[in-house]
Amino acid sequence: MPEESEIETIHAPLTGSNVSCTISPRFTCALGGALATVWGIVGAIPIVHSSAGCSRNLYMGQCFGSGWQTYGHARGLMTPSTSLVEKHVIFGGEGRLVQQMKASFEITDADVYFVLSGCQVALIGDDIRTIVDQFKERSDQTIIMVETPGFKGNSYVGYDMVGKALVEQLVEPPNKNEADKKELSVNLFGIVPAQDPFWQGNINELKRLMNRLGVSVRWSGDYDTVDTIKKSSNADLNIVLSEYVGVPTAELFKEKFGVPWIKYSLPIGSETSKFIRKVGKELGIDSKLVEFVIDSEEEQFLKQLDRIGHLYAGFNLQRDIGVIADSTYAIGLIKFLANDFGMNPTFVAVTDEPPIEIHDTIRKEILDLDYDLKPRIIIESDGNKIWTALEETRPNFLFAGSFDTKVAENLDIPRLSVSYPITDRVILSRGYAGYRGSITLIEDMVTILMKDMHLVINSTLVKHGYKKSTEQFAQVA
Amino acid sequence: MSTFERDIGVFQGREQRLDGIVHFGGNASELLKCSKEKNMPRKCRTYSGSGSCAFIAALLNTCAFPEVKVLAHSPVGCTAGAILFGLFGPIQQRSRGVPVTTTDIITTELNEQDVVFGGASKLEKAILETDKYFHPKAIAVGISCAAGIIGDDVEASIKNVQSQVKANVFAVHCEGYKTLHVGTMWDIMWHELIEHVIKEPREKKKDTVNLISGPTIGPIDEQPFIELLGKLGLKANVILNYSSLNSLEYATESAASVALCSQASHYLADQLEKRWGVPLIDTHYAASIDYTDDWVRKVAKHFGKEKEGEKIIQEEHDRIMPEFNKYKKELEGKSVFISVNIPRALGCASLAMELGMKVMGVNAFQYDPPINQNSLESLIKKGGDFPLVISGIGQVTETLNMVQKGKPDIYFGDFEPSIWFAKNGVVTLTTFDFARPHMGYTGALETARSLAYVLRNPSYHKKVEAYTTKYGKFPYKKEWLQYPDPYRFLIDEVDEVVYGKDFGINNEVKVHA
Repeated sequence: MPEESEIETIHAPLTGSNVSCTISPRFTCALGGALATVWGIVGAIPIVHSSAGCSRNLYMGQCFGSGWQTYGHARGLMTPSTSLVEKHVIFGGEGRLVQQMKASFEITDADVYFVLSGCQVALIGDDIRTIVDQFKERSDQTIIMVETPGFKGNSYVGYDMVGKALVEQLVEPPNKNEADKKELSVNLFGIVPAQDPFWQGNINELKRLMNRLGVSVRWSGDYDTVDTIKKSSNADLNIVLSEYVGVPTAELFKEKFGVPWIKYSLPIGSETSKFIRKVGKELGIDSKLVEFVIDSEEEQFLKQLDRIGHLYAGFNLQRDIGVIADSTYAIGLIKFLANDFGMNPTFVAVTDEPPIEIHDTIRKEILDLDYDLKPRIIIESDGNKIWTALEETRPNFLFAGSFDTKVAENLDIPRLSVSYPITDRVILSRGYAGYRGSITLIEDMVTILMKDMHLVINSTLVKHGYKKSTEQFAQVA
Repeated sequence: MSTFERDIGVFQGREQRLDGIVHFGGNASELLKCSKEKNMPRKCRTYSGSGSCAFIAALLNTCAFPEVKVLAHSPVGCTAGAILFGLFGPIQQRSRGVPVTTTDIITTELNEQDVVFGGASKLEKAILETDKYFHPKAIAVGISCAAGIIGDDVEASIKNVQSQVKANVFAVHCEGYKTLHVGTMWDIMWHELIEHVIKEPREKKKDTVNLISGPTIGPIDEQPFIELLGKLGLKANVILNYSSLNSLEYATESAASVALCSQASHYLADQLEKRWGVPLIDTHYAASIDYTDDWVRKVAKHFGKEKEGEKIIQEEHDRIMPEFNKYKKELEGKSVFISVNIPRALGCASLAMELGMKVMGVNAFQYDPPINQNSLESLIKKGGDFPLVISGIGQVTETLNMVQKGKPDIYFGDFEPSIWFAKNGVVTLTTFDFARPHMGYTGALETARSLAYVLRNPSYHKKVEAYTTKYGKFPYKKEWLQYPDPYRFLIDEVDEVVYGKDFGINNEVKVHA
């Protein structure tokens, strides 16, 4: 295991030249992220201008890969798609889009339509904007246009494409009468539906905490109505729960409506207290109320830590921890596991291809721990390179995605799926954020840790040059 | 034959080669008439839901042939659907007791820079890396929409690096916009596998039959057929066995081919017959008792074992009929809507007819006259005419309109449309779910049992319906669901305005309240 945290960047996103291929990418394309975001809006129907396969393929990838949660007003097969074929690629697909939009308005029941475009139309150069503008003039439908060709970026980029389009095209200027009301409110950005498999649970926990502070949450990303989004400019603060995802949306929001924003990577465990203090300070909430909320939440949180005490202390649950997840989860999980649960993080792979400018921020955030712990950090999306690095480090518990099943099996590392894609567990309302989420995380982790104790026995024996005990006795049997 | 000729001149999609269609709405007898007169309707849809693309079919093949790796020359999203197959693959492998391999997704992750400057050099490096990391027998380079439109010369890239890798590298021209025909999608992949993987026979095996399975057929359905062939003294060479490529490589040595599903396997079986003289025994989709009888008879006859065949049929009937008839009593008179790919749809409709159920309508993915005409004809003879929609990949636009005018008691079909039926208050049974056999005598019996059971306990479907009506809403307007003509979005292909200055946007856009 490397002594000090290594500064490694195997490849930066979108640099192209020295990257040839990605094995097991942990995201889909811009269109995938955009679709996942649109499906998360109540009564929203995306009209996808692309080949027939895109929207269904991305539905399977993004939603099934996110713990088999299937959501969306018009999801899967139901998503209107222009289903372009060769003739459209040659002669242009504009006529087909007009047809499809007309028919969609006629037969589908939506509160808002999103016209999303795929790679094909970006490359053949269809003038979608003109068509959408003409429809906007002639019909009373709410139409949002977002150009989302897959080659423009990954799911995280697609999320902000939709976010920015909504700020540009749907959000209304603040309403004085409503803004005068005493109640404080915020918007939450940066949690990408289905790309974060626990998005609903996470958002719900954050909403609960905000409500305890007397703050209501407007545009949250979890089943927002069109009306909520329209009026979101009345919020007092935008909270971005990632180091960079959601920032472009929040920036534009500030530019257009003057709503300030803060950034705080998804808090898990006692980190939530710092988060609440920061939000409280930004909103000017009475510190007595803030401290009261923190105190009562921490009491419940610590009570649960106490309840696992006998198991924890009795079986020495401290492990060398590896995390393969996006930057948001990498920061949140490492902080919680190191600062609250006594774990020794040794390996972190950040898989979401963050922009190169913030690589250092992410490293700094991960290493900003209460104790002297120095995990090895790589910022890498290629499965092969991640697994090679994992093999060198060999933690004895792994938080990862379903793609890492094989490597974890080979190395006898117990594993819990926490990052996209997850196909080995079903995730509906479960969340890992906040105080309550962190306890859920402990439940999930320790269940596997106890069940797969034999793997740790095996890997430890192998490390010291012995045979696996499972093999020894299997032979006897 | 040069690559160019192969792509442009010889390989044709089913639309051209077999006069296949993916757009139709009307009565089954109308389509049969067109099919017999060799005058297939050429339609297109002015409203379309999402569908499938050839790229997914190519990816799906990788989990059936783990020794072939698909390298997707594409932006990162094109491979998304493979996550689903990453689940299918291990189920198929575990239930066969063969090593579990991961369906690895490998993509060149084309970005903006690449679509401007070309992705050829990236692809060459990617081929080297794939070979180095996975050591596959073959690498299939899947060409995406983006790669196809920017015009990367994939064949040239492959030529440049072929000598440096052990794997046999070949391109699969599976751009997503190529076709809406699921059969063609399969054919594209089969075509390349046949060109690059299949070997000349070393010997002829007189008692071996290629049992060509399908992507959504599992061991639970194959096993009874393997044993059935065994009773006829035949050995089954199961193709799509999720382990070694051998079964495909030496399929040329078998005495005959018989398919469980004619839709996915047609091109392979056809080529084996034309190029290597391995005859195809043309059968129905053996999902009903009649069709299974027919399946057994045809195979038995081909090998001159009619007597043994009749004996098997008699034994199986004696075994299942008492219980089957019990469920028949429960199901008689109930109405069913079927929506799945065409051979299976016709097979399932046949079973429904045997159970005395009323077939309210069938939504099938595609129709190819040479493959499906016999089944369609026999079915109409058996149970009368029925409404039939051909819809690419089970689109629900017409279907949901059709079922509004009198809801069926049960939806029986593919897994994707089922949720929309559930939201409409119709109980559902998916044709294939890995755990329940749906083919052969056992399949007919188990399906009858399941149909009876889901009708007895619709609690989940009722809850989903309640959520939709009380707290949510349905994506389609009532105006559409009750519109008198379900086929209004099907127009003649020649009428489609593809290009021109005015697409009719200036006509009034009619929006219902």
